[in-house]
Amino acid sequence: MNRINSGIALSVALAAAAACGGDDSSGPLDRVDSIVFLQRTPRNEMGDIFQYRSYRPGGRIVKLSPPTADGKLEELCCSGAGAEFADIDIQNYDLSFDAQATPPKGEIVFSGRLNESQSYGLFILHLETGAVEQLPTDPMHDYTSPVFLPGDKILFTTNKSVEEGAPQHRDEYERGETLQVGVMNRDGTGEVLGPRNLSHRVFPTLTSEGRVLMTQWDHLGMMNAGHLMIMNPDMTTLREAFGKESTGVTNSYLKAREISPGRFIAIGTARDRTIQSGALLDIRLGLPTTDKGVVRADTEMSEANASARILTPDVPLGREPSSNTIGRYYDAFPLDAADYPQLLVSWADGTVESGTLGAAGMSAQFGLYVYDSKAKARRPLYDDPDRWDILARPLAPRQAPPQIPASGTHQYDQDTTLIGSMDVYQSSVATLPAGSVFGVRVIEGFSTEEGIPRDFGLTEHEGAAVLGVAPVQSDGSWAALVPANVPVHLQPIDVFGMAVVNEPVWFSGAKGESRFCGGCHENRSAATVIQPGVTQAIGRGPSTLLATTPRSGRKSTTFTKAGAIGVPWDQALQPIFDAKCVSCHNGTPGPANPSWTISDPATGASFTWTFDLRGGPASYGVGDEMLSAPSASHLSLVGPSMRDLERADLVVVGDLKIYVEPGDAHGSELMKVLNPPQQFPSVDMNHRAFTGMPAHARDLGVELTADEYYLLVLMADNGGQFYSRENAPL
Amino acid sequence: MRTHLRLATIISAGVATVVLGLAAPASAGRGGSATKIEAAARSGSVDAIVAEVERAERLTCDACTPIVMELLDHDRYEVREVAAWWFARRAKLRVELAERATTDLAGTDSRLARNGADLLGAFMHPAAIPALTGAIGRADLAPEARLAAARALGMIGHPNGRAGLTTALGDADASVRLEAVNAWIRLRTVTDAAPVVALVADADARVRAAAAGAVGTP
Repeated sequence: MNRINSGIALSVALAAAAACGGDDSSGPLDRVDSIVFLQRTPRNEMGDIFQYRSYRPGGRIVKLSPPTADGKLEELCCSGAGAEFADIDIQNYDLSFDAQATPPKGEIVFSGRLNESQSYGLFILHLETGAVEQLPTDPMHDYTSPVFLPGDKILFTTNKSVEEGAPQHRDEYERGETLQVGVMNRDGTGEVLGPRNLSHRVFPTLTSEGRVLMTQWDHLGMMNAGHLMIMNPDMTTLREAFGKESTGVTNSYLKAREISPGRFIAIGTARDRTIQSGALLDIRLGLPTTDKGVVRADTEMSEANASARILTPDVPLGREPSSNTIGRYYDAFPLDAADYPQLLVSWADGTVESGTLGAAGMSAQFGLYVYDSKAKARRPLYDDPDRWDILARPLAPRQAPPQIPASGTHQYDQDTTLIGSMDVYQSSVATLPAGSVFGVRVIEGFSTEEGIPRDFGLTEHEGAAVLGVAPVQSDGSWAALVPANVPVHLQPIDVFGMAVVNEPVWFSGAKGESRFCGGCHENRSAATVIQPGVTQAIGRGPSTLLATTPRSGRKSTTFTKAGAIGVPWDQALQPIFDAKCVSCHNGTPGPANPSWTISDPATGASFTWTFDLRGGPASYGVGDEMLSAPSASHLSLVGPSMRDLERADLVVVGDLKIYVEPGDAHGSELMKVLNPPQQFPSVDMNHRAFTGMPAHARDLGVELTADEYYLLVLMADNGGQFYSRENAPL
Repeated sequence: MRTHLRLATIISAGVATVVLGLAAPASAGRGGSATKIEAAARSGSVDAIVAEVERAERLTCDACTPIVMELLDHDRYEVREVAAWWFARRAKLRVELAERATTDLAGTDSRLARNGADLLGAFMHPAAIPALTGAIGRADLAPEARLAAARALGMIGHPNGRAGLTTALGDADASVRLEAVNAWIRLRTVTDAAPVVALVADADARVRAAAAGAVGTP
């Protein structure tokens, strides 16, 4: 991370020039012959910040020479490329490292959609001849946001699935087919798709050290935001860069571009209603240092040291309408690397918010400006009133970053991914006393694309399949082989099988990739210290957790501790309730079945629910607006969302107790009541999780088996969902 | 349900730099209201409507019902889809609407049939496949209704949708054939493309292109 990189090129060169002096009339674009930018037909429908299918014919790539208000505008693409380009829309583009204006040289790779019935594909524009060639991408899928990589490769995002035969993940909330990353050769051959996230990955950008920064939608439980992630160009070694663990300033960060090593300009905004635009943020991944006017932040890069400076303090960071003269920024390109940089920006004045614009029958009008972030002054550069002018950058050669060699592979089955930690007790997110963690449970995530009808049971968690538990060794290490390209998340568990921490993010690895951490969200600015030599987990060999079992086979064979993968409520849990609970907990009001009532003070309408562990459908609410609960037992245990009830101004009367806290068995009332027994390394029914507390089922003489306790624990830790693969209608 | 609202300020190089706070808490599925949905609907902005309906994902909100109900008949598919998604989370109305949609699919009003197909597709339950399949084969329905039925089969993705999509691939209207090709590749566990192959020579260029793509899709 401390490598001095020569590829910073233009911005640093300009910064150095600025630092050496210059008269008052000089500007940040004085040394730039031409800029290139994208023109798109204005629209008021981009979708949320992760959407990519917006289409309006009329896109083109243009050059402005010199980059002044009276410069000459020249279309580079694509009206001269043939009739099939007449209705093209262009989503994004990148310049080859040798691209220049005079004489024309180099290439532009862009993502274009020729008409509404087609997908976004990738095209190469040859600047010298003006010829356009279409790369052979899969026509049934979209390819967007291409980026040239050193070594004649192109990185892109696509909704094509890396898993042959498996549908692409659809975010359960937003429902769109997710974008993931891929790499191909410059001529379109050799396509390799990267391991998948459960939600979108968008807006990749190349750093001067040769890595790739992008925005990842992290969506698991309450986590729901677009964070910056960084990875190697072979799509391995993905790491968190900015926004997580309380380092952020808003919900999402997008369209990042490097200012200098470790430092990026990005758009900060809410997830929706802002036309994918927002405030300008100067994001620093490490501690800042200054040399000859260049401020960089690649020293001790970690989330603990990361920071963001808001360069446009008046621009809303949320979704509220922006005001006149404030507006919102679509993107920015750094023109220097000063402490307060000069930026080439695309900006629209006024209310850049989809609802207000829609009501007025208007669209945002993005034009090009030079923004002096120190003076907070914007100088107009170019604005076509009939088009958006966006994604501008100098058309000038830049030094290619060094090629980062492909990551090494692990020594085990090359169809699998090796994951693990050197010392699970080193954590920045939880205090884990030595010896408190028995193992690490690995959970595969999936969503409605597998045939689950629209929801998994009304909690905020998505589909879960438990791949298994890898034991933690006495040195704190653990290791496991898991299926490649599959999103997983981790739960260090105690001897009762309950998670002591529930990792709130998904991650995945490629075939043969080794994803080893120092700890469990360890302090990223400190070295993880382990005993000399190999970790015990590797010494003993990793646990194999369904690593080569195909997706269709990753289902429970039996509903036992050993055989449970998914926990379908109606198949795995309801039989337990039916056999051991419903004789008392059957909806008959009384001490065993407390009731609660929701009432609407405005209408006087009310709804009463009585605790009931029987199966069958159930619903709750007032009036027509009834929310669904998959079963009476599910509603009784997982309950309605208190927050939503409060927001709807409904009043709850009675003992509304939520027995299952989704994602947290240990914190769930159900577990405190049942007081589950030790599960690992072996079952001990006399050793209970909550010392000195009653154990409801045992004390009443209807003791649950160890397997039954474990199924309930799994259900709670994995989100309290009703549906799993096992009870999908397919 | 932890809420992190930590704020901090760091001073760097003598310049006050506002930093750190916490990433704004997740807003998905939160903060919705009937008023906001209604305002979004009035604005006519698809983005605003979709965002506000999503935000009311689990809001217990009687007043929302008639507003979202009206969106089921919106001109834009994206709006009809998100409205149906909202109802998919509401037990009582979900059942009623699915029954109504099934009836509409069997009726003669093509707009209602289209809306019904979109709703059943958004519900993603394979129980709707017979009704959708039946609608696809009816020449008395407008192409937009048959197209919606094909799209819904793709949304559901159940392999039992194969028969309906095979019919749609032979539809007289190119837009229906095109949608059927796009839906075909969404059928889970269906890996062959035999019924699509004939469309590689379709009279419509869009269909030809899509068919060629589908045939080449693993």
